Amino acid sequence: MNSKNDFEEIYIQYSDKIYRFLYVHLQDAYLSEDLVSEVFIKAWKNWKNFKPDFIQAWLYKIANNTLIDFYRSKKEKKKVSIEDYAESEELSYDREFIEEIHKNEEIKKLNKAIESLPKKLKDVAILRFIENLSAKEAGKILKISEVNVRVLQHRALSKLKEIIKNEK
Amino acid sequence: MKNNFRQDLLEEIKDQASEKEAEELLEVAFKLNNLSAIRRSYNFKKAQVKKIISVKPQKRSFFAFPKILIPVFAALVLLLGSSTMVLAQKSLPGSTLYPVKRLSEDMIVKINPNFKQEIIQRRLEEEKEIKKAENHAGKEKDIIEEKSATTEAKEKNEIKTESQGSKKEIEETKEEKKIEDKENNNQVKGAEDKKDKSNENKSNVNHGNENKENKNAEKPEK
Repeated sequence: MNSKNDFEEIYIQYSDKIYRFLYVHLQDAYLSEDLVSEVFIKAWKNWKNFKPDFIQAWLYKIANNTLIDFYRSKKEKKKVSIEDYAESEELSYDREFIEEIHKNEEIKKLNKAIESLPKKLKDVAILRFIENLSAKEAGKILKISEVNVRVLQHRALSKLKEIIKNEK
Repeated sequence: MKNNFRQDLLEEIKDQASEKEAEELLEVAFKLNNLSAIRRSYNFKKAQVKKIISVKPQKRSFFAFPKILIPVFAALVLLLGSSTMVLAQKSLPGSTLYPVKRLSEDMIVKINPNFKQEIIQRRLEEEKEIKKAENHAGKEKDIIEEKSATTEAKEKNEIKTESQGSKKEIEETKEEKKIEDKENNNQVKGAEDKKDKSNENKSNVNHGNENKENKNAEKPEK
């Protein structure tokens, strides 16, 4: 699992999941794209240590750490913060896709509802209800027990239900 | 959302809520699942990954260790360095730490030139200590030689006495053997003599009988 082709496959398979994870947290289509690139640059740099059986969990962990680093740095937007990436070529975005997201009212509503959730509940909601991972898989990624995942998912859904009701 | 996943989720939610509430929560989960439709185009992803791959993968160098360990490592180096410096101050010419002592002195002199006098005193003290050590070593040598001489003499005496004792023992055993041999010979001789005597007696008796018979035989002829 060391070749460029393998990495390309992994990127095409998982980059949307990572993008969604970051987008739901950040609610910024451009910033999410920047951080997805950062996550996969980190993955590529450590590609030799990659364990094929845990790719998804590994990528989510990198994404979570990148997100935490971002919150810590308190930067509104990491424009060209990725040195290596900036060296290679300018950052680019899928403009059409981003426009679509911005126009989509359903996504806007959901974003608003999710925004008020604490990070832990957001994590569980994304992994369980957007990415359809099992409680066990979500627990592994978030380093919490399966039971804890179920408790958090219930809390997240209850809160979201209330928020959506109030909006109506 | 797949049917199986929906069913499993409903059962999970039912554990913590009533059936009605569980259905409502499931609807919320369904709405959230709409966000999974967020997907970038395939061509965009292809282009992005090529850019990422153009970044060189990191090679693990020997010195690449966690940044957290750097202060610990630095503290260890400082501790080891300072402790060797302190230990080196008691060293004398000829010991392995002496060059360290000289080096530290040179460094101090560079900072404080007045330290030269202290260095001269140190050299004198070193000389004294070396002399002391030599004298001590000489005395020790004498003592050791004396001890070795006495022990050698003792050993020789012991060997002599042992050898003499063994000679005596050998002679005594020889004498004992001689006496035993003699006794044996005497016993054998005695036994032989007895045998001879008994034989003689027997032969005498036989002769007597024969003579008697001869006499008796001669008598009727008369």
